[in-house]
Order: sequence, then C-alpha cells, then structure tokens
Amino acid sequence: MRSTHSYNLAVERVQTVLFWTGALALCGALVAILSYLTVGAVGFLGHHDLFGVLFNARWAPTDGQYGMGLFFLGSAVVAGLALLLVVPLGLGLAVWGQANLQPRGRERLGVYLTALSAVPSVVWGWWGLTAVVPLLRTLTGGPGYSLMAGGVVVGVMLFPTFAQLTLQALCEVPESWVEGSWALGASSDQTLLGIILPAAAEGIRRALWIALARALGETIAVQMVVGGYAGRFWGVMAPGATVTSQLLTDLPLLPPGTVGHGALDLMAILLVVVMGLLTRWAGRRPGWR
Amino acid sequence: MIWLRKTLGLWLILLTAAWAASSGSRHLLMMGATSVLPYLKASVGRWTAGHPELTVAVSGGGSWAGLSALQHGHADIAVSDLPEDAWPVPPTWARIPLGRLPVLLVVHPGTGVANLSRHALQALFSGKVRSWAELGGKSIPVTVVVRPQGSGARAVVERYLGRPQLGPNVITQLSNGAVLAAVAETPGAIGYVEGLRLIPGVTPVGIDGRGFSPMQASQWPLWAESRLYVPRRRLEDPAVLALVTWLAQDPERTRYGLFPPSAADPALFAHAG
Repeated sequence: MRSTHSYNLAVERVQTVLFWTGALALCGALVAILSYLTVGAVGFLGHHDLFGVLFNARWAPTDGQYGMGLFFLGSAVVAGLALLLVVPLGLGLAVWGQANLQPRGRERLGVYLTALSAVPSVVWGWWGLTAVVPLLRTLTGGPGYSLMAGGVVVGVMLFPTFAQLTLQALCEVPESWVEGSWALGASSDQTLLGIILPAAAEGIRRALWIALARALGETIAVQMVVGGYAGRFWGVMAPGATVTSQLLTDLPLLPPGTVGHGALDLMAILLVVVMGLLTRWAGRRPGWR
Repeated sequence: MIWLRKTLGLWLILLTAAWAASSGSRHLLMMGATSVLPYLKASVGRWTAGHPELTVAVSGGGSWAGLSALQHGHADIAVSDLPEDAWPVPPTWARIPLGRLPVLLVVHPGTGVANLSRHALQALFSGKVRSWAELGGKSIPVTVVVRPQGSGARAVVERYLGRPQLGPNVITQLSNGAVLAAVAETPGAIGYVEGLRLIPGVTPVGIDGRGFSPMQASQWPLWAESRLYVPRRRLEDPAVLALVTWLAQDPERTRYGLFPPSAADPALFAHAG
C-alpha cells in the first residue's frame, strides 16, 4: 500500500516536471522566435518606412528595393481561392456524413480524412505540378504556374482538415434537437438550415479560421506551383508570389545580418501576427451567444 | 518507474554515442552555386573517402547565398559563379577557380525557333515579345523561366542582355533542374541553365547564329566562371588546403561540363578582390 502511494507520488512529480518543462520550452521558443523576428524587423524599419514597403510593388533586394505589398496580396488571393474551393466541398462532405452515415461510418470517414491531412505539403505540391499546372495550362493556354494553381493546391490540401473539423461540429449537435425538428414537421432541408447549421456555426467558423490561417502559412506546396514572379500580376491565372513562397525563395539570398534579411523578418512577423489573430478569433466565442 | 529509468538510460547512451561519433572528425560546410553541386558532391565524396579526419557537407542555395554565408561565418567555403564585380569579395579571401560552365538557352521544342538574336532575347525577357510568332516561330505565348536573384546564371544572362526589367510572363525556379523541368513541360517556355546536362523535352537555341559546340566553345558568349572562395587563414589548415586543391584539379571535372578556367581568371589561390 505504502509502496503504491510512493510510486503514485513519484509519477505525479515526473508528470509535473514534464508539464512545466514542456510549457516553458513552448513559451521560450515562441518568445525566442518573436524576439528574433522583431529585432530584425525593427532594424529594417530603422532604414525603411513601413507604408513605403507595404505599398511598393518593386522587390529587388540585391538593388535595395523592398516593396513587399504584392506578396501580401498574393497570399490573400491564394488563401481566398483555396477557401472558395474548400468551404463548399468540405461543408458538403460534412453535411452528407452527418446526415447519412452511422456513427461507425463517420468514424471511418474521420480516419480517412485524418490520413489525408497527414500527407506532407511537398507531396501536394508535387501533385500540383503534375496535375493542376498542366490542367490550368490546357484550360487557359497560359503557363499554368499561377496564383490559381496555388489556390487549388492549398484548397485540396486543406479539404480534409476543414471537412473533418466541420463534421465534428455537426455531429456535436444533439440528436434530440434534430428529432424534435422532425417531430414538428420540418423537412430535412429545414432541419439542416434551421437547426443543425446554426447550432454548429461556432465549430464551422473555427474550422474556417483554422483553414484560412493554414492557407496563409502554406509554403512549399505554393512555392512549387505559384510561379514565383515577384512583380505585378495581371490576374489569378498569372504567375505570382506569396509571402511564404518569397520567404522560401529569398532566405538563401539574404542571410542573417543583411538589410534584406530584416525585410524578410518584417514579412514573417506580419504574417505571424495575422495568423495569430486568425487563430485567436477561431478560439473566441461569438458575442451574440 | 522502470520504464523511465530505461528511457533515460537509452537516451544517455545515444547522446554519448553521438558525441563520440562527432568528436573524432572536423566538419566543413561548403555552400553556394547549384550548377556545380553534382561535381562537388561527387568529388568531395571521393576525397573524404581517403580523409576521415574531415567531414564535408555540400549545400546549394545559390552563389549569393554561399558568399553571404561565408561572409557571416555560416559557411567555411563559398561556391560562386557570380561575375566578380557583382559581389565585392574581401581581399582576405582566396579565390580558387574550378572552371567555366556554359550558360545555355533552352526552349520548349514547340516554339519553332532554333536561333535568336540578342535583341530578340532582350525583347523576350522584358515581355515586349509575347508570342513566338513575332519571332518567326509558332503562335504560342512566351513564358520566361528564370532563376532567383543571386543566381550566377541569372547574373550572366542579365548582364549579356543589359539587365532588362523582366516582363509579367516570368516563372522563377530555384535550381537548374527545376528550370529544365519547367521548360520541358511548358509550351512556349524559354529559360537558361548552366552546364551541358540537358533533359529530353528541351531544345538548346543558338545566339546570333552561333550554337554551342564543345569544339568551338570559345565562340559561345555566355559563360559562368565557377570558383571556390575560402578565407586565406583557413588554407593554413593542411586538410582544407588539400581539399580545395583536389577540387580545383580533379580530372573528373570535365565529365560534369566544367571547361578549363579562362586565361583571364587568376591562378590558383590568388588573392580575391
């Protein structure tokens, strides 16, 4: 009895140490990354005006030109296109799964979606190179490498994550609410639109913000298909660049200690701030509830 | 608690083994131009097989990245094929010429052109010519495939073309291989690569009536001079000196498309700058 008690105490101590070590390591890593980026960005802004670089379209770091506005626009376009693809498809699959599958079927669907979510980004990028880029080339007659290709690849990549989170949200709606709606004579569509979707709105909204944050942060898959053109793009079918694809392209060119690296730090920290805000909104309850 | 002790014990054993394995040899990082990576990886592999006291990692990233990394102490040896006036090299560095690589212009076979004038190339790269039909080829839109800024090949081509402002029909690819793949897969594409290792699906084009031929290499206008840069104090280390000497004189160089350095390139271990 006594030895069991000692054993439990020891395990508890180890758990406490592991918890605090993990928590401190996480906070330390976050503070270190943000500090590093902030120092570089502040150093860069000591020589350049923030609005000047954000609203300038010329990026030529070896010539001292650091206009980065188009990269943020490119990120917004790619993320927007991805959401246009992923929201109807993901929502459709989730609604179908919630309405037509038994709990065991939903569980299996969840396993498949989890497996798809685990496919590495580089594989999605490869798929984009071999399927999406040639398809867009055939359809448009252009090069195929484009913001649209980036949006499609990211959209397909995020589809399992969004569908799974949405399915979970729909399945959390109490069955008694659904049955009550039917008992009152509502049709399946009326129940879906009047009961299920409003009740699951918070979970769906969270899935949407998480998908948006991931779309903005995706790097290698986008870089492989977006074209990497750092100038003014003339449409979604044209080559372009996003913040993350340009960071990947220019990191070797602009190592730490150079002025250009400060510009990359600024881009990175602005992206981190935007993604942080999005994930914060994802976790917040709407005020009207 | 037994599992915890076992885990900790295993972790300590692995840590000790890793420390013991790494403490027996020194490590060098060589970084820079991707054009000579195949040669360097093969040659360094042969050299380190007989010199276990030194482990050498060869990394790409581009010429500019290699020179920057050496300047900031993040690499031990830089590999660059940038023109020397594109990067002010400190006088404390030694320059070790590896050889010259031809920069070839390649097009997708469907363009219908086999030769381009310098003027036509300027118009293509600046986006003034949007269809190959304007240059006597087929009616296919032009797509220009370039390397990122800081690439030696890009510096050579842009200098030859008078540093044109690139047009909107440009795709950037991170390596020679990616440029070749993009040109091969994109109808109407034109790009440039260093070396002679072309792939099926791309066609080299001549410039002003001159095609590249190894027998008449001196007539080709686009060359990248590949060099190693290393701080001179590092050459006091016999192992480093032996390594760079080997890389500069390895007879296998020609198999990787490296031509002898130009007569204008200073001799081995000359002061840079």
